[in-house]
Amino acid sequence: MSTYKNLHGTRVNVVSSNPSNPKEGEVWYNSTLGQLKGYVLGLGSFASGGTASTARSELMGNVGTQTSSLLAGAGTTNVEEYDGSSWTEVNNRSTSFSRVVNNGTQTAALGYGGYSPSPTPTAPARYVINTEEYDGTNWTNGGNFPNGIQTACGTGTQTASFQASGIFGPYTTAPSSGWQTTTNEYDGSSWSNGGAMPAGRDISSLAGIQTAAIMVGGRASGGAPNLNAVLYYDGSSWTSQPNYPASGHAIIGSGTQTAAMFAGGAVPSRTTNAFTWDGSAFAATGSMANARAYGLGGGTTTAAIVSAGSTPGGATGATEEYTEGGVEVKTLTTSS
Amino acid sequence: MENFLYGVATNTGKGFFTAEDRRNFFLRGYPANVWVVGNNPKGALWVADRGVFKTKSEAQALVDAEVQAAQAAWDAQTDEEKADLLNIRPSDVTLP
Repeated sequence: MSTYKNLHGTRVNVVSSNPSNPKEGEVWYNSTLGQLKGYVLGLGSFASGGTASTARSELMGNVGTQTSSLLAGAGTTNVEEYDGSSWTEVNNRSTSFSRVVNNGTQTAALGYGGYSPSPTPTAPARYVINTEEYDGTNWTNGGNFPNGIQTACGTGTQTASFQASGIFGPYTTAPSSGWQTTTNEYDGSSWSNGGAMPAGRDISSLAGIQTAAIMVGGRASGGAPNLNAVLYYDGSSWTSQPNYPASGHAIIGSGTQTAAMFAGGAVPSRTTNAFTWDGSAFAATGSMANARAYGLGGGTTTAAIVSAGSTPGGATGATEEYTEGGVEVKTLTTSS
Repeated sequence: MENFLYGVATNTGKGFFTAEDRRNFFLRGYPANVWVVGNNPKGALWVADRGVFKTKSEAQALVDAEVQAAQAAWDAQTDEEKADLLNIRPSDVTLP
């Protein structure tokens, strides 16, 4: 068994009081308190942000940063921009589809796919092929998605977006054949096929960019079971990664392939739990105050945003801002 | 001493709860603007500053009323609407 001295070349210092100016990673034993102490990274935490004026759920995707985000789609034409403090209504989208995938930035966003409920008792609901682009002021039509698709996930930019998972095809009440392994890439004007996934799933979470993405969770083909499988995409092919700590769908993701944060989700109940990913392992971080799934993500592992979504009481417009924990003196235990 | 305090407070947005609050006490939001807060002096001050205290049973009754209203709205939907794969009937919520 390795000892601290074997690993670090020195024994743990025994002191009667905590050092006044410790170095990051330094460990000592406080003999007064009888505790092992370390100067290590603390847990991140979620604080309340501004509340959007329109509560909405069934959001798919991630947009922008903690101080520059965008809420669009999800069963309403209303669009709101976030400035790091409050949400402001801006020009509407032309459509009010739900389950639209939104990606990009506040001034160059993309929304595609989605679900259009039956407008009349006899008219069929349908899966959406529309793509809309936002330039920070107006929404205009982009190249249509190859098929109708809903409950997809996506990541990337307006001119380099990546879609994976989802249910394809026209509406049916039992679309068991709709889960496909097909993925698609957008170049700013049209969609083309990307590398096929190992298996179909939907309501997954994607973070990263078109050529370096991470996918977490979702539902297997047919809508069950919930998944904990994690996959990397390199722009053409998929590889397995260590499993997510919970099996669930509609988890809210943000960040990059090797520095991502995932929060909430339906596991199967709505959860407050959040985890960071450093490219090799998931670590629990501070939890959200409100359990939610199907929300909007954005930002990085140091400063992320989670907004709107589905809570146990229904759709919400509430926002929570995540800040990475700072280096602090912590009591070290077998679990820390 | 009980582990939690219960209160009703409206989320006013930025600053309603801070990262420091989250480090100082347990905080969890529930339907009907019910908040469950860690029972320590800072948690108690947070509830007192932002809303009104409730007993656990009072808070649970508020949550139940909102969830039951959501369940009734779900039950009133058409069969086609209920068949949608994402349209799950709201579940009961039990406060800790």
